[in-house]
Amino acid sequence: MITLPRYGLITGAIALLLLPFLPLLIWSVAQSWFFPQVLPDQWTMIHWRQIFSPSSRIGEGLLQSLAIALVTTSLSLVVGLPAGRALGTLDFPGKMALKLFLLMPIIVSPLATLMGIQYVLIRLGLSGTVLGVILVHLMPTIPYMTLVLSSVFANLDLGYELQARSLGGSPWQVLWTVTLPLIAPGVVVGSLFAFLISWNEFLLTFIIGGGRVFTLPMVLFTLLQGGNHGLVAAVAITSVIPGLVFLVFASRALQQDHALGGLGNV
Amino acid sequence: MDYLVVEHLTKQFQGHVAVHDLWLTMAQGEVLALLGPSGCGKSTTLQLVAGLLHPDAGAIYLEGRPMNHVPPERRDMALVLQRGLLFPHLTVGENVAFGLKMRGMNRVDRDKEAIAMLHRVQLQGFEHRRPSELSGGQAQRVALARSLVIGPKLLLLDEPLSALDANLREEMQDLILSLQAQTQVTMLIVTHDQAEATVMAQRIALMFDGQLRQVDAPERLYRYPCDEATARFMGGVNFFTVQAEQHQWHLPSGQHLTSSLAHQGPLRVTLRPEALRLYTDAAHLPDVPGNCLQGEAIANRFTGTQRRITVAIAPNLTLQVWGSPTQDIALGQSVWVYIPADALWGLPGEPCPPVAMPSPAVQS
Amino acid sequence: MVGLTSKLSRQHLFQWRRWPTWARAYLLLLPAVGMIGLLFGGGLILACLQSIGIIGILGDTQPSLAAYGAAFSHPELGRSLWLSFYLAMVATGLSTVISIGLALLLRSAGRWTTIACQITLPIPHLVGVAGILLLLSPSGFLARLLMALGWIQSDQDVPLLVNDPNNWGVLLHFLWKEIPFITLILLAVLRGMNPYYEHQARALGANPWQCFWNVTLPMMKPGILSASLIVFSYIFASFEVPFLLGSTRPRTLPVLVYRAFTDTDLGKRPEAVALGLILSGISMAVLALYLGLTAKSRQTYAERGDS
Repeated sequence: MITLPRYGLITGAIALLLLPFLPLLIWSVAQSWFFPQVLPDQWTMIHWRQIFSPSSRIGEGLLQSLAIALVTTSLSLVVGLPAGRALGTLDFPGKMALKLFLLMPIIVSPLATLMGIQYVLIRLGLSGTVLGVILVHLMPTIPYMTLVLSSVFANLDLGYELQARSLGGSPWQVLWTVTLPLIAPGVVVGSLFAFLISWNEFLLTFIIGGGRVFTLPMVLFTLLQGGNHGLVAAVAITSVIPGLVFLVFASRALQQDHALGGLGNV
Repeated sequence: MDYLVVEHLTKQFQGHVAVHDLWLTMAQGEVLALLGPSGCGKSTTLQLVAGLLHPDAGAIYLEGRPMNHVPPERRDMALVLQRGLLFPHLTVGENVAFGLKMRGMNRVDRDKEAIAMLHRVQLQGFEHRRPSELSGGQAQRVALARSLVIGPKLLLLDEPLSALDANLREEMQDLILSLQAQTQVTMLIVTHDQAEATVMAQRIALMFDGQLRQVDAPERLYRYPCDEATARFMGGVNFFTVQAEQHQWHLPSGQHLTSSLAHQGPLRVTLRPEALRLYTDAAHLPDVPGNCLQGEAIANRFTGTQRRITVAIAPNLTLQVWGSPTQDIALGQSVWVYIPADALWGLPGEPCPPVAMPSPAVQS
Repeated sequence: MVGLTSKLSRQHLFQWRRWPTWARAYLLLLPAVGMIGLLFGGGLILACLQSIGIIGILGDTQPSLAAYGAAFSHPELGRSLWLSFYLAMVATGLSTVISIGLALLLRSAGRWTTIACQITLPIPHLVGVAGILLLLSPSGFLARLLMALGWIQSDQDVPLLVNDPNNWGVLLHFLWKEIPFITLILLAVLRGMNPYYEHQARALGANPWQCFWNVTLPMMKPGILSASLIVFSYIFASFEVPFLLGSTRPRTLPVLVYRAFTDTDLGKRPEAVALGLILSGISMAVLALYLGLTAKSRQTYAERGDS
């Protein structure tokens, strides 16, 4: 019927989305690429070697980013699961207000808040530490996790749990063998968002990390203010990989609409 | 001339044949039920008629006009689905007026018509309510009003009552039938409930596995089913094979039955359980031509309006007799089953050709 | 032993079940609300205290409203505010409209096509900035392609798309990054919608356009508003993208806050906090506006059991 223009439009959209990756890919292996040349005349792996050389601190940034993102994701999952359960399955006074409150950190600009937090963290000796950075990363990740999980819980048929209990399962057994497997796609989607937010975060890390917590976005921000296009491109491509792997891994769970529906129902 | 004609309709989904070579005609003002078990293709047929799906082959004509390339909105058909599906973002009044708005009618006129239509489904004063404030039966009545207000040439109902309680369902059946009688709208109802189809339709089209098996008046479907599957779907429970010699039908156990039908050779036979009668005393057997088989009562089920008694006649032959709830029989008791000669029906074993026009009266 | 513990836990749970619903809900919410309250609420209160001089980063301060005086008399405040607002508005509006179209196109597409359209979702903003810079700068990849095709004669002929006064680079970056995000949410909303509503509308006489306008779009509305709220708020508060891709003057409000925050003169800190609080205040006003706008449909959809 109308499939041909439809696929033309979709292909065009994908091409536009992929376009900025093209110069990144070429630059990351370009030795010299002067202006009107469409392709470099000399190719090199020097930028990639630089990423893995210990002197560049890029490898360190990569590992630190990964560690921060994984810990942040796990913590927001631990906090988000009970919160999502409450908002998704129970009715109680003040529910709307509490949901709104949990939403605030992703709606309201965090700049002022960060300076307030920094004031305390300096006095606690946590400013400029990985722990301090993880704490502030929880600010945007908990709301996303809670939104996604509350929507998943709202669409979970609690009858399965009652059924399992009546068959003799203890609350913990039911949680592990029935509830968690049923909401697994939501957990994956919530974790994907939490991971990506933490992995992506620049401003929070910058203000609380004070330049001493050196994550990949910090590396990239610094490099972008310099002029080494080759290294910028190589670092940029490196910072894409973990998120992309997670996305492919989560692709099946992303098909589960209740999880994402949570973001469409703020 | 036939009002609706469906010819050679075929639809596949990923290799699975949902509707296979379906032929059907309807007269103007007729109520026809498309009956069958779930997954038999009846809803697909309805969507093909409504134009929501495109057939792989075949044609649909309404008033002689080919419909295949007419988009759903220009077919002048209206659809009522199982749960009403009232648009949640519109009020009840806006829901009823929806089809009129789509036809470009101005607000004042369409509001007036919507309110009048709501009145006819006994929901006066409901126009400003939200669909979420309605009960299931009310929602279904609004859905009916929404479909009828556009004066459709064909009203399509897909399991319209199956989400309702039993007594509410009967009330809705009456309402639909009285509205049909007033408007004379041609109605195609899809249902899996043979009782509902029997009550509502002038003819029933029975469908199995994407194919029509038998199209006939409800009573004829009950009494003269074309094959065993049809008979079972219509509530048949008694089946056995005989060796027929004209009117004499021999059972494997040696007994024979006299039938008003003549046949030669092996024959699969069905008996409506409510046509049989049960006697506990041979002396009181009726003095009319017929057949009596002696057996032993082995099961007794009380349904409230009936008593269903299973009688073992021979090692391989049991018969169910549905009779008066007051006739209680002890298990193990010796009984006689009286089988009227005209209650015996030999199954032809092949699909009957569709009956073209509604039967004017039930034949006996 | 085993018997005893299981009996104890069952009894414990029995009591948990007998708790009133609100108590259970509050207990379940405690970690999340506590965490956000401590971090966000606490941070906000401390920021307020800093801005009025009750507490100071150096310790010795007098309560005063001088920081607000400085913030409000900041020569760039008005223009910065307008620029932040304009960028967030235009980028959100355009990405929402395009996303609605893309979501409708992708509605019946397969998993991998859908994933391909979400390719920028996991990409950090700074990577996008790098890609846009290397693509659109005067000596970027696009200029090279146009020159090779003979469409332009020198890099002077390329319209300025990064660090330009119109902020084209910033807008393009946000479109590139946010369209897939909104599309993902709207696709979920569309797929969660019962397709029979649209069938019903078509059967009642709506043509495809009427069906979209009268049924599909209104039913998507809560999702559209909610996704645009998230995206608007993000863009409004974003720092690194306008900082690296945007115009040098005027600067967006977050860039202004960043400049005051990184000023070597620590005495400027209260002013930075005050500017930040103005930014937060405006985001809260936007949230209030959103709540007002959606109050009615919120009620309708909360009552709708099926979806």
